Amino acid sequence: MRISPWTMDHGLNRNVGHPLGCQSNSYGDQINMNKDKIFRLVFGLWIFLWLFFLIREDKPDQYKSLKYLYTHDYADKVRRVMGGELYEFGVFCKKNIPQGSTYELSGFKKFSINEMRMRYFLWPLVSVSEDADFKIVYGSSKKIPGYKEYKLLSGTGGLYAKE
Amino acid sequence: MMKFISALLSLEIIGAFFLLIVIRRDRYKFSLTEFLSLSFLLGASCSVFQLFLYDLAGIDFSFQNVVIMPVFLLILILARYASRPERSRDFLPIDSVDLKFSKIEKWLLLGIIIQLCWTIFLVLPIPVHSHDAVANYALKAKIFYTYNGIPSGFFGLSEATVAHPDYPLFLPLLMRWIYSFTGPNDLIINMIMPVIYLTFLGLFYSQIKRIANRMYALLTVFLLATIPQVYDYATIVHADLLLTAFITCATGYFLLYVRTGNRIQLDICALLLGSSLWIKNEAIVFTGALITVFCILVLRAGRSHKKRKFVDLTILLTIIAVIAIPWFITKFHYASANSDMNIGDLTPERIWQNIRDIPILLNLFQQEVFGPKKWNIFWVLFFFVIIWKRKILWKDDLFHITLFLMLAVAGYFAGYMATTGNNLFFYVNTTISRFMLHFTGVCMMLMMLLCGGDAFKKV
Repeated sequence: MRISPWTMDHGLNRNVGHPLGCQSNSYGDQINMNKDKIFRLVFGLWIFLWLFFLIREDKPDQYKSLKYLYTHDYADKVRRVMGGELYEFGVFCKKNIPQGSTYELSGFKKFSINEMRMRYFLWPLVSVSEDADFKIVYGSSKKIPGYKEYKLLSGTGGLYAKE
Repeated sequence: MMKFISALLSLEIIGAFFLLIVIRRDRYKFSLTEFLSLSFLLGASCSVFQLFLYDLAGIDFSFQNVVIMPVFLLILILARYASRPERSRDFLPIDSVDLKFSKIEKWLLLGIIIQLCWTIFLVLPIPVHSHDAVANYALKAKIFYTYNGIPSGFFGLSEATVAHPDYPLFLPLLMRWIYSFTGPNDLIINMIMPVIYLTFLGLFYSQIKRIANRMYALLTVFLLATIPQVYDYATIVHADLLLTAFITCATGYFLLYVRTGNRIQLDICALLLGSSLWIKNEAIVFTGALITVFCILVLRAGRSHKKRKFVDLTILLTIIAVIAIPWFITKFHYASANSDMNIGDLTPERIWQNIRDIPILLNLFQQEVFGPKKWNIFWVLFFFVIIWKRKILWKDDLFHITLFLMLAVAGYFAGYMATTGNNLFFYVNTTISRFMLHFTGVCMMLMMLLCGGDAFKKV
């Protein structure tokens, strides 16, 4: 059975098929056969590309990661998605910053995925742009003016409370 | 999962009420696929408006307050059918349904099912993780859950707290609705995207099925469903697929209205278009384009039809205005500005700079068109068909879709030329693939119309 929509008479499209405007049946059949072949080729290419990009790993180790995600609990899933170090630091911050406090993030590239994930993870702690109750410093433990050291997570970062 | 399904059912009930009691099937015949998918989209819109109105009225988003509406509407639906059992004919198929699928139809259907299952397989184990989801939509939903409403001062929050507080709230409020049933579960909430994907495909199929035969409708839906960019956006919580669904389906109903003159199809088009203004700011472009096309339709109408078309235009504008005005009043009341398009910064030098950067835009555009990873060969095919069928592109009802597309493209292009916050490369590079997604459904519809031929039914 032919499925090509291109071989179908459009109604709107009459008298535009033949360059000379004549209505030869054999010529029309020839055109329809060619169109049908082209349609099959195009559709075949579509199917090939569809399956190729569907099955191919979009990111490195995608299937390994999926297997992990299917076989672990919620906390492990979040750890996997955020990355181990960032997740541990997030848990550390959540545990040590009192509820209702505000914080300011530093050590992240502005608007990076890690900064956004951290902010999402830490909610209901509220991220602000200035005058925060706490500064969260990721990746280093530097002294911040106006803030005193509160808690450090060795090698990952630290919390600084407003003086 | 049961709680999530209950949330979906609540949305279905609201939409079903609208279709069964406000529109009524004796006035507008819809198939089961159209009923289920349109109910979901309309129900989702109504749930968003409900929560927004609750906020304006100072009513909190507690579970009881959320479910009162679907429960009440369910009682009304049941009362309608319990009081007159013969009305249950509403649920019978319109025509005799041919359950004998040809071999090709079976393969196409199987392809769509495989694609849908694959999408669910990718989504099911992953918590919310993509950039815009954690920065914007899912974080807002979490905020609304914590405060049991939209907190005061929300629209004035800084970017350090939440990304783009000025953005339309459709997706966050829809997610908040679901959280009323599931709690703030950022694992199950991801499933909303495959559901939106499914309802989009279902409604798109129903619309094509109204004008073409089943095999052609399935072929078109299969092509749309298997575009990588379309199914990729069904795996992450972004508003782009939702916008694509609403715009495509609104355009589909507009096309049906142009062909049949059925006012209910115009009403549904207006409802979907008005709702799209709650999803993303880009919907303004599509709404403006469709209203312009409708004005031209009125001008082109014969003398005997002009008055009716003018009334129809008034209906379209009224429905869109009623739906969209609460959002725009809120937006302007809080003076929520778009940081990427500040009119104050739009100097002639800046516009000239953007114009000089047009080759950058074109370069990124051609990379998208010829890139099979995101688009398969969709855009190559589309432009090929446009060139091939150029003689009929502006004929009959194709005129309206073509003009609508051209106006919307011009609107997006003007938007790029008016960007001020960063350089043009930054904006085009970060947005072009998702902006092209917004056009995908309508372009597929145009391609389908151009190539349909004998597959079309007489309407």
